[in-house]
Amino acid sequence: MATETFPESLKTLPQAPVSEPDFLHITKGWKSWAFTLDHKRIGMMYLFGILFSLILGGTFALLLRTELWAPGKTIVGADTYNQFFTLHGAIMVFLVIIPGIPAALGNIIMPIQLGAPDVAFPRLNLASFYLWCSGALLLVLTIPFGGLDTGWTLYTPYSLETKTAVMVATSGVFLLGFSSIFTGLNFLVTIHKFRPQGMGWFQLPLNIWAIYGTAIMQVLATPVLGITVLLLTVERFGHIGIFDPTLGGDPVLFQHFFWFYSHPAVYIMIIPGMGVVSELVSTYARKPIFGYRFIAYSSLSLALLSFLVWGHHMFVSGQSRLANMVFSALTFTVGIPSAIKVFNWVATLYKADIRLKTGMIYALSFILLFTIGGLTGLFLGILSVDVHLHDTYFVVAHFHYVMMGSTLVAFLGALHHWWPKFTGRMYNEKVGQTCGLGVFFGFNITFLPQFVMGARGMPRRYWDYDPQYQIFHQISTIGAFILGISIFITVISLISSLWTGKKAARNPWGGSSLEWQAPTPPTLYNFEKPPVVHELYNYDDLVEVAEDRWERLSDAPELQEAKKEAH
Amino acid sequence: MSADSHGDDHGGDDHGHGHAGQSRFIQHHYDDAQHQFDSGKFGIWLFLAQEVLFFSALFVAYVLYRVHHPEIYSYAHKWLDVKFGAINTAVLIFSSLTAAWAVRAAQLGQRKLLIACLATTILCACTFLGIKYLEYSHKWHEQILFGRYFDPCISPGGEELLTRKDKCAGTKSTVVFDAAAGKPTAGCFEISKLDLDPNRVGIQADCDVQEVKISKGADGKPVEGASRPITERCTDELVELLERTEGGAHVGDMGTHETTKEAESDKKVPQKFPCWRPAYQPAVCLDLTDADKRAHGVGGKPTAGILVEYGDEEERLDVKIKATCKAPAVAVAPVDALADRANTPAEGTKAVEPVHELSTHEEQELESLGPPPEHTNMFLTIYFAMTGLHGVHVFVGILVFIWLLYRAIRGDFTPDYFGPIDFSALYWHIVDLIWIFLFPLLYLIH
Amino acid sequence: MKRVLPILIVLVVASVASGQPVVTGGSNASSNTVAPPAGPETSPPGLPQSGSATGSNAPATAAALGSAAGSGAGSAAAGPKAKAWYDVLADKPIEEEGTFFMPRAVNRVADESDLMFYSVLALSIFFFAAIAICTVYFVIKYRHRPGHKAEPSAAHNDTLEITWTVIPTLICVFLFWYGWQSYIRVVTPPQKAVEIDVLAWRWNWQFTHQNGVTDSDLHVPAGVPVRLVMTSKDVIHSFYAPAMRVKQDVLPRRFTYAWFDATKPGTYRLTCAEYCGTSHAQMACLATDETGHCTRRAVVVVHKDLAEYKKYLDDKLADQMKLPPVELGALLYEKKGCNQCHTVDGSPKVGPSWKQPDWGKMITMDDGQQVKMDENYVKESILVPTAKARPGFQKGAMPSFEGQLKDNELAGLIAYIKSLKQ
Repeated sequence: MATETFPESLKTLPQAPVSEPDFLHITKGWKSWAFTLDHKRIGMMYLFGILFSLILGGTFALLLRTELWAPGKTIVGADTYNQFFTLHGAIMVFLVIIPGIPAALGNIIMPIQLGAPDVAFPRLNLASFYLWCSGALLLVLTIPFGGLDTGWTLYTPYSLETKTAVMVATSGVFLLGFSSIFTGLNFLVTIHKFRPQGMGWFQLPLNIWAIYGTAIMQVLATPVLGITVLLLTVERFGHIGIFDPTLGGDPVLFQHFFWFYSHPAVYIMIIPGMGVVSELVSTYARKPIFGYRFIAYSSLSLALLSFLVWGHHMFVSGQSRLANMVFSALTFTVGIPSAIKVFNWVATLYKADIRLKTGMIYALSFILLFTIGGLTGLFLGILSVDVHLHDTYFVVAHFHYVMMGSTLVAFLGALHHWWPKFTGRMYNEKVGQTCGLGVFFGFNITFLPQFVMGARGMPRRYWDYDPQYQIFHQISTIGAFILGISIFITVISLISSLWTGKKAARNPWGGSSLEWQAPTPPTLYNFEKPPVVHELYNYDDLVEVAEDRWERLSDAPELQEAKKEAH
Repeated sequence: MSADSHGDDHGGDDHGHGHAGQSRFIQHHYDDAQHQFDSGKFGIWLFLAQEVLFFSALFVAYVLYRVHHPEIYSYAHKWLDVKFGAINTAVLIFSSLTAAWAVRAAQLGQRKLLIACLATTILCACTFLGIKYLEYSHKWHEQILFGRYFDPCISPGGEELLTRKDKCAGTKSTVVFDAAAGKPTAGCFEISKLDLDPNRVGIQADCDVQEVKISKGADGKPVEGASRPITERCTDELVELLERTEGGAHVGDMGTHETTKEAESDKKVPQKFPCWRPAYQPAVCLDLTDADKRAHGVGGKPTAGILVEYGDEEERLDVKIKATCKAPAVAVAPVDALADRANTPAEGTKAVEPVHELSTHEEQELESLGPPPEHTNMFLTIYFAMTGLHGVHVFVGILVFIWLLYRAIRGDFTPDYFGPIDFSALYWHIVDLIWIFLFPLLYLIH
Repeated sequence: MKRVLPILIVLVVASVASGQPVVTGGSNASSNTVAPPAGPETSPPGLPQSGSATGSNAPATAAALGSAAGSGAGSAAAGPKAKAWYDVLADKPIEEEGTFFMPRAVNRVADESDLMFYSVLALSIFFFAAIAICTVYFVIKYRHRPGHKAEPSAAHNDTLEITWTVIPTLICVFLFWYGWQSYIRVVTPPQKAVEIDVLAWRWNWQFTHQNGVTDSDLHVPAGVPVRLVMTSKDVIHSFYAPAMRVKQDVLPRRFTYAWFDATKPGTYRLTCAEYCGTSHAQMACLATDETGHCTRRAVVVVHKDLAEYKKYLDDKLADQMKLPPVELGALLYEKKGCNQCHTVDGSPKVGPSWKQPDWGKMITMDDGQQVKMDENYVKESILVPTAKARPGFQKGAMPSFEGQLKDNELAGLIAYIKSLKQ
């Protein structure tokens, strides 16, 4: 790194000058963004699309929680409520959580972290983004075209009979699927072919391992969703009969196809979150991650096992008992790598030096929320217990702990962690920390009561309910508003930091991976000169020279001297 | 498609400065030509893996429905022409060869050979789609289609499909028997007009069924009175209703005398629905109107007509059901093909029972002559979904190869830079491979 | 890591101690305080639960018979004046006894799965507490403060890794095995069972008993296995009786099965667990209040023994036969779920209202066809809904009732609709 300009004083060390303009300022005008091939710009466009979708999906969540304040009609009727939860689910799953970490943050950070100048296929990357945009547009267009009331699962034969805009939605999902496939393909090739000298498989940051596992699933599982929604679309207008029982088709086949994708999709959502948290925990605890290889292998084994457990969504749909047995057994195998990860993260904190920056607050929230999400998964894996809990609020709470409590929390943590790197601005730490706690507590207030409701037999997707559940629904609604307001303030605070935030250093958190060697914000091809691969997760060499500013001792002889003097 | 992603070099904010001494198509972020090629190759293999998964769902659906409904497959495959399928297989395999050859030509820098190979591949692909068009248009015309639109004319002889317009016009299906061939040859069933009940497969003749009022004459003998046509076919529900109102109007499984009577005066009693049903298979049409013809049928046997379920003339209560069937277009001898499995009916006899237990083979043969089993449309659904999706892939392949041809003519490809040809050829091979699975699975069922 | 293990052990003990009361002690503080749903037409409670002794003659029905002799009395005549004893049973408040977490199981074979639930709950609380306490303890102890630095420690420890791989594996194997064993018991019905046909459609249940009695409440005997043979007319539904711990999807054109062996007489909740459209939350709802909240859903009524169940079958059959057509129609309007889509006050819902001013007149269909609004038209609309539709309504949105209505029932519905014409 640029060592030649280090002055003597530790406190007022000026930034090392960067010879090239950064990627945000290298070209100007909307065309330079719309036709960019730069992975960081594409990633940022994804990011803003995703944040917009997050607010849209969140609005639907708050609307439906408000409706559930009291039994019967509170603000809207049953049909509108059905549209609310469908749009909330579809937008959150397809537009926010699935592309959240891989497509947005993965695009921005992964190549830099890898030490690559760009992804392998920049044009394909841009094409993926536009596929995502058109898919998202179609999905949102369902609202003016008659809404969507099938649930995000689009189960046949209901989705064949409803009068809402199923075809618009399925076309959107088809495009989103291919966006996801091409992103995964791009990342796999990038990780395979763009590792720099000295970066072996086990020198890869765990975030890249996680994105690698995710990409495998994106490439191999998403095509099945593609063909399934394509068949559903054709069924809607062509009445080909493949899922239509009146024509001899099998509606349960749709469920098999759908979950063959959508179960891996859960891991497409969670594994990048695990990768991010591994980075965050290690960086903010100033400790090497405990059991690196076990975490790496558990990411891969989760990716592979996720293909074999789709049947546990269908324990009561008339599947044979043998199938139920096999799927139940396989489902439990998924619990093991998840448990290993949690234990390793906690062990990383041992004898650490923990800095409770916003990123760390989210990472710690993730560990606790994911533990609850994982443990409640055990209930649902047990066949006899699942019969009672299936399709109740217990399931709703469980998958929100995994998909939102874990993935979205990891996404927010990652966003704070890397925000200074790609925007060049520091966010407001106080607001970040407060909102981080707001998210954690708001989330638990929202979803813990739902476990109890579910176990008491409250089915999901209910507009009206027995009065005995009302108190739980009300607690849940209050929590949802705490959660929603926290996230909204977070988004506003982050975006306003683009103008008001102070300039960020090259390495504000003392991270050891390669992206912290790149300029802040990075240049067009990320690095001014080839990055030096240091020992992974080793923080001995890094010192905090000023608030939110770390430097490598080995890079700065002056610094070493200054440090010696200080001793 | 990944093959496209690192092709030509305009657009975007790519710096455009190639690596010294290498093809101008090497992009900036790659180390060298080899790096670009390796990345592309790995990318296209991942894309092909994705393609396999994309088709896999349809193969799973194929297997599932075949396991559950083998009869549909063994019945419906006869609509697929093995000849067309075989030609298409050969054409595609040959085009795969030329595609592979094109890669070699590009590697060796043989530009003319490369152009020839690419052009041949495109030509073969177009031939494939042309033949597919013939197959599809034929099925479209016959309404041998998927799902809801499945309503074909089915020739009972199985030889030749007659055009819908000529033979299936009107509301009733016609069957024509050929004496020389000894089996029915012309005419067709219309699915929508047949009961899809395996126990009631029948050949319908063009019959006119009348309900005739009977009253006692002065001499105590019945006298036929006014008649009216019966247009309704018997369905199970109708028969049930008929029996219930006939036999149990006053007993009634629910309700007492008083209340139902009260209701009766208020509403209409469920009507008696006279109806008729086609004869049990195997059936012979009898011409009941033309006594002469009946008497002078070849060999003194009836030539044509129909057996309705209650006999030709069935007296029930005060009405008589009379079926009058039109003579077939060709007045012919009794139908040997069918008669050998059944007694040739004498005049006015009731539905014919087979004289011996049918062997499995005979049953199959008989089934293939009869109307299709329930949900035969599912075979066509699978057929159209699989071949249709494959056809779209062939079409995309044509576009890709035209683009390659254009670039080959422009002279873009050198032994240093032939990635797009290699990747597209790999794509073409997978399209070919999928067809090689589709052909036996769909066309060669027995 | 030597210092971690003792802490873990301490945490184990602590969380076991704190976890257990939740499981067992919680059962006393059950949630019975919640008021039962009270329908506007609910008879005053207090009728003996086993009211069969007096109910056999069904005096209520006789009274209804007398009062409704004249048909066409208008919509006011809808609904019988007094309820039959079995409907009174069904109107009773739902049994909600149980722990904080679950209503008590009333299915003989469900105890084992409940035991699994509570064991896993204890296990989960233990593991969560262990992880949470470790995390919080570490965060406090090793938080960054001036002068504090990370101390070196091993970055991996294979013994520890293997330990925390093997222990969860063993737990999972046990959970799977016992879950599978208890599942097999829950889904395998005994040879002899009372068989009841279940037909689901949007948005109603119809339970057909062996003597042909149909009802939208599920009446079953206690102490006798009951097997349900289920199918759907339209989309996928799911039969869910939480207290029985029974859930099974109900599929169109296919039969699925469920069974249970009720242990305690009473009235229990019955819901649809698979999303099926507008009124998914209100499958078989018999009464709603002004907010649209359903105050009387179809329920599972467990009779005290087989004899009472048989009496229900006989009395119900007798009552179904005795009702005059208009009364029968009004009853079927609720019991067959017609009320989910049709109103009787003239306002349109999913389907047109049954109260139409144009009885006997020519009406124009959506395709311009002129049809006389009479018995034939109504009958066709019930049996073949795909045939015609009034303008503004979808053809075939309604399932066909072909084969599901007896002649007198059909006549009753027609008479009822006719009676609404004013």
